[in-house]
Amino acid sequence: MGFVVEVTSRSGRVIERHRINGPVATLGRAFDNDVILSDPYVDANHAVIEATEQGLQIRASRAGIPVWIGRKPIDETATALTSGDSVSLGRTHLRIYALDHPVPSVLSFDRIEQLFSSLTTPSRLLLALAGFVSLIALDTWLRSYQAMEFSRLVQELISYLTMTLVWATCWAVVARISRGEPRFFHHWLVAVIAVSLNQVGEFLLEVIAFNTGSLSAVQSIRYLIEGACLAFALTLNLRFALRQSPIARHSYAQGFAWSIVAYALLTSWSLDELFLLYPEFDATVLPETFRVAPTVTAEDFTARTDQLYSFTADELE
Amino acid sequence: MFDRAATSVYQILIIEAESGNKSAIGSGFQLADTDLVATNFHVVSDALHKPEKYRIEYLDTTGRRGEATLVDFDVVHDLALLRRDTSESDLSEPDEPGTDEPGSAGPETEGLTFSQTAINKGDSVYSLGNPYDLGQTIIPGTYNGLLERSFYQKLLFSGSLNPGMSGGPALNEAGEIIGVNVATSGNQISFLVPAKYLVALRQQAMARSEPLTADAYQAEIEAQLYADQEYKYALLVNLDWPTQKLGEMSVAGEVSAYFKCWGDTNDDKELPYRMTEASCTSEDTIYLSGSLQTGAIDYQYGWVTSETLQSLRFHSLLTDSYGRMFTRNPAGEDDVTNYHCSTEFVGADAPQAVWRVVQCVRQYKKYPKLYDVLFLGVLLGKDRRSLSSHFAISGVSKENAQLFTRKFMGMTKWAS
Repeated sequence: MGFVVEVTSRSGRVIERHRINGPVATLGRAFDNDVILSDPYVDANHAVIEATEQGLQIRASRAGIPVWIGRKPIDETATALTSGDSVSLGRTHLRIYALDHPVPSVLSFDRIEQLFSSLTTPSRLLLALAGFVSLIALDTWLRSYQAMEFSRLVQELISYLTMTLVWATCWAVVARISRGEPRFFHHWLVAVIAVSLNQVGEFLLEVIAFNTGSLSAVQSIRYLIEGACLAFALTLNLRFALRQSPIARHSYAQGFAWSIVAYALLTSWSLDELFLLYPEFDATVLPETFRVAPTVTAEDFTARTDQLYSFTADELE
Repeated sequence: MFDRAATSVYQILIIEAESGNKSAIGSGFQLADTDLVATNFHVVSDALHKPEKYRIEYLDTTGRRGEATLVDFDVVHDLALLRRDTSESDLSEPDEPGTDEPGSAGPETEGLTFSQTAINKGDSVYSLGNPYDLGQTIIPGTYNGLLERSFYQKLLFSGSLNPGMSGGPALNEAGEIIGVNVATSGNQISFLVPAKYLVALRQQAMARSEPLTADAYQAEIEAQLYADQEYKYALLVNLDWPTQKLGEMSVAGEVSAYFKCWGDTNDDKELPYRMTEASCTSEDTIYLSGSLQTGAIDYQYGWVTSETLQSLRFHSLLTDSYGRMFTRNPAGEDDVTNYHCSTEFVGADAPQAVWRVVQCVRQYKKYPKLYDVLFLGVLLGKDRRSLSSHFAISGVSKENAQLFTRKFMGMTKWAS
């Protein structure tokens, strides 16, 4: 009779795994426990897990000590556990398994798996950095028709890297205070993915601008894309930094991001009323292969532009 | 000559009602056999557009000052006719006591007569006016013929006109009117409105059964501008436009002598592209107010090629050069609406080629029959070769703008 206690990170990554060969295991900070936890929020003798004829059970060692099965708090009354349940003591996350808990079948180990399995965290960091730098460099190069200046490229890279690093640092500080885990790399990766998605969105915008020529429509879509990228980043950063329910997390992230978008859109629409000295149109030119809009004849063009000469009484005031 | 003519020449002052001080100055002169004073439209335009804010006054050589009213104008040729109010209550005393009896109508003036003889290049011309508010001045110079390459005839006067002299008379040796001072380009290059337009305006004013009132000014300006653009565009659209080769394209050349055309090629070997530009402008603009001039016609082409630029980078270059083209007649919010713009892809006569065309239109608020129109076209589909074409026309009717657009688009063809 026995069971397995896994100590995991908040995201579920296994940190330690203890096989208990007897029917009972005690958990706590004291050195006489079967599973010794170093979390300052964990009591010296915090909880007891038992394997009985009826299955696994857990109870707090005494009243008033926080123990959760999933999100359900329990007290010193023995409560049944299902194999694979997540348990939290203080800020420590555990998973408890019966010894006969099934494990997934073995995966085939191909070259790509081998490559990824050999990647250490610094390697992954470098790969992400290289991918990001390549994307920014490609974007800068495609937008320039002059000979590429190394200093300009470096300037672009520094500005993007500074932006993402500052963002990640802020979230890492929040996470360190709140959860005790900074997870800087996670936060930085979120920022990099959000910026990269925004860059891809910018290119899609250029295709829309090229086909429609409407500066105001393109500007509105730009705000929506930027809002989506911000909402994406905030959701993940909150997930990594704070202990919140998914509903609260999504409410904060989406609410904040889309409020900014709404403000930007309203401001932009109110500016449409302003008098402009010069015409407002989008001059984006892309290769003909990006054209989706249909072509018209010169005669049709004249007919279509006829409506340009119609102005309302409000416009003429 | 100065003594003979000076009594017929006035300083024209535009007085700001609230402060009672002058906000602009010009010159004017009495026409013989009438009670009319000629000046430039641009001298009195503030008082025309904002009569509640500005009034017109005249000042004669003795310092006698009184109010004047606008009688008629020719906005296209920048002329206006005023009538002096010589009733006693409107006359101020002369600056120098003893020059005249207070309350009198000032020195008798017979006014200036029009020259009936032709003037030849090299003849002496004398321009009178009040430069920089310094006092009555006579400027000798030389007549240098009619200004060519202009829709509106002007006389070229090799003499120094200065601010404040606008509206003053230009006289021949006999002291007869040959023109009206109107503009200068500095360095003794000055322009006069030919006297024949003033004769026509005088006849127009005298032929009116009802005097032109302030309520009718804007309608009169619109009628004059509309008639002028009808004449101008009928002339342009019916002309057989010459063509010129630009890169592999055939485009409109110098449409008429009224345009000045310029060209340049950027052939810097260090640049990964080559750009040849040709642009033509008519310099005939009509002054309407301090914030609005109209009547300009500009068109421009740019042929761009590159051997080395990747396709997206080549099109970034096109985006930059395409976005720089715009109309050159800024106007205020009181004058025009915002632009309406539309983007279309128009089939080109070359295989696999298509035009991306932007057309923008804005309407004049006070002259709703007239519009400013902008056209921008860029040729797509030819590997790293492209033509940008552009025109901006101002103060044009919808019908003429559409005729001009069709004609302009039809002129751009693939030549290879």
